[in-house]
Amino acid sequence: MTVRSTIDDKKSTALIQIRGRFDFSIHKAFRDAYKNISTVRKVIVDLSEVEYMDSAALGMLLLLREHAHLHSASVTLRAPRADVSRVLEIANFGRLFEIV
Amino acid sequence: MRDLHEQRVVIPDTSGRRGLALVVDDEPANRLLLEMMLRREGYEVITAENGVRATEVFVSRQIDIVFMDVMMPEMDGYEATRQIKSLCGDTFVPVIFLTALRDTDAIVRAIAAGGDDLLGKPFNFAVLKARIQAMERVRDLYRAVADKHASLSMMHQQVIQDQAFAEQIFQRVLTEGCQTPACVSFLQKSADTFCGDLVLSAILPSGQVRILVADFTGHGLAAAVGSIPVADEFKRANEAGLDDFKLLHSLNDRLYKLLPADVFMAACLITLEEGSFSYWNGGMPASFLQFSDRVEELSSKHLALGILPSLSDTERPENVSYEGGQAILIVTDGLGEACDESGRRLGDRPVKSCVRMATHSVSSMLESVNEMVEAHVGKALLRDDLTAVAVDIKCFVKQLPGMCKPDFIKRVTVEVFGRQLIQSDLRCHLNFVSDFGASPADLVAMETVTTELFNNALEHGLLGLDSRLKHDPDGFDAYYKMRGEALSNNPLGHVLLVFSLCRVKPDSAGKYTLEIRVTDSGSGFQSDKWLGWGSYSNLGTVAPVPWGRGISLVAGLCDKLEYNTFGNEATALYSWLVDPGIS
Repeated sequence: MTVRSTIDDKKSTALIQIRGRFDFSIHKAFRDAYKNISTVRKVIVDLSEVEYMDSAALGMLLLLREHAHLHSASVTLRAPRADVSRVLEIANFGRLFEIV
Repeated sequence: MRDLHEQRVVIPDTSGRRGLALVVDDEPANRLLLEMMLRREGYEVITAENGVRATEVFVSRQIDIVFMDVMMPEMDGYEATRQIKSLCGDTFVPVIFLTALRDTDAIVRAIAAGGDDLLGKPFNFAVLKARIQAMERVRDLYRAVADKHASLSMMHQQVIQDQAFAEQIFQRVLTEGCQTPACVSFLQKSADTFCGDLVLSAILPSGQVRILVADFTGHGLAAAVGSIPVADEFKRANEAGLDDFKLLHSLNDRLYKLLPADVFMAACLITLEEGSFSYWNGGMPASFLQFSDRVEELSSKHLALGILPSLSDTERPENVSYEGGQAILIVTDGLGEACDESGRRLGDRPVKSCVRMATHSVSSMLESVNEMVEAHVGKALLRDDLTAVAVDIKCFVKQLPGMCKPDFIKRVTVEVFGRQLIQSDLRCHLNFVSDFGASPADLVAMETVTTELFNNALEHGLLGLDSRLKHDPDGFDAYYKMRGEALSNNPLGHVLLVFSLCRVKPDSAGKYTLEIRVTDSGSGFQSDKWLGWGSYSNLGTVAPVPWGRGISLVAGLCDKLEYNTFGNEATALYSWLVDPGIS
């Protein structure tokens, strides 16, 4: 699985892990990963194993952000590698997401 | 054909509802037995006694299933099957070999020749029925796939046609009424019919050059569709005189309302004016400002457009000086992301060093960017659209129309050529300034300046007359005779008059300046000969050279008079004050 999601009810946190290429080809899997999340306060997207990310992925993150905001949750992007960091930086996504 | 018909055994109860079977066997008894079995199963049957006959029948009739013996005179079953299979093309017609099932070699050869199944001899009716059913299942599957394929390729054809049509419309909408400024050139490669990258440029009424390079999320039609409202907004803002920030505001508004949440437009907006340009980059890779000895990067400081409901006040464009700069290169991420056959990105560094090396000319810079991309990508397919836009700063500076740009109000451009050169009413082009409080005396002065500069351009620039002739009375006559003759011969070339009206300072609304620029298409006069003629900044300067009367008059009337180095362009500035009671 390139997209895996786990919910930690105690911490009220959802973790979405993505592996490999983060692009349009995984948009359904990515959507499925968060569409049933409605009770948590925080969604963490773990990007540490993402090798490549394109603008479609940026769009998918915006959709996740919209969904999370509807349910009053925040979205954090975790541990992007250098290449992915660069993409996030150019897009100035630091203003929309917490990146740690 | 005749003997084929003679071979048919007519049994009255044949329905043929399952199709037409071809039975190929040199043994008449076998043929008859199989035929009867098949008829009972609802097949119409046609028979052949060897491979040659079989292929003839196959060509002339539409056969649904073939039963093939192996050993036959003239042409054996293997060869006949090979030929029949090659005649089938894309349609599936099962060939069932009739052979003793213990003969391993025959089985292998039958399948190799294209046979689909085997039927052991002697025939068993139950087995035959089962085999036919199995074959029909396979055949139906083939047909279903072939039908789907046919309708898919028809749809595909339709899609391609529609796309080509839509692309034409797109091109028309995007380029309609657009005049690409001479200083802007670009390179574009699309991953699809439609390009998700957008390049818009315009010369604003103030003479500024505005360029928008944008990249929508994704590519193809879905990405290109947003470019129509953007082009629309761009044109509207240019006509309405909106500044960059207001344009960005309205683009963001429109895109936010229009686009789904995951689609946005990364954009880079540049507006060049004298000495500097305003720069705004939201989500695009860094642009490059090229100097002869270095390259500066201008990076993205903003979010792409269409993400947030409104652009905040802190998102204003920055002002960048281009003093000493040669060119600006704006790129979309498709360039750095272009991958070679093994999936390696080109990266940003090669692009930057390309810009640093190609200082010779702007076109050579784009060429080397193109060569670099092609060398890198090779035979691999582009995954995203890529665009590189080059702005030639020197070219922009050369065509800058006004010296008084920031407070520009209005420009009137008149080209005088052909018969109009003989008798041209120049006064009428100046009337517009009376709306800005110029007095009748000011108008006369401006008309005089214009007429003198026009006559100089015509007589010296276009007709090549030498005013030193006018130093004695005979020469004076000769001069005007030559002038008349030259004009009656329909002179070639034109004189261009550009009147640019400016407010002198934004806070002093009562003072205006008209720039009168007169350019002729002649070869100019030798600049070394007239050296020292470059500038007349003092009122009443007396010309130190022979043909100076008109010029010194103009210089006396104006605040400032300049000639370019070619001697074919004069620029005069005339200012007037407006009585506050009038304005």
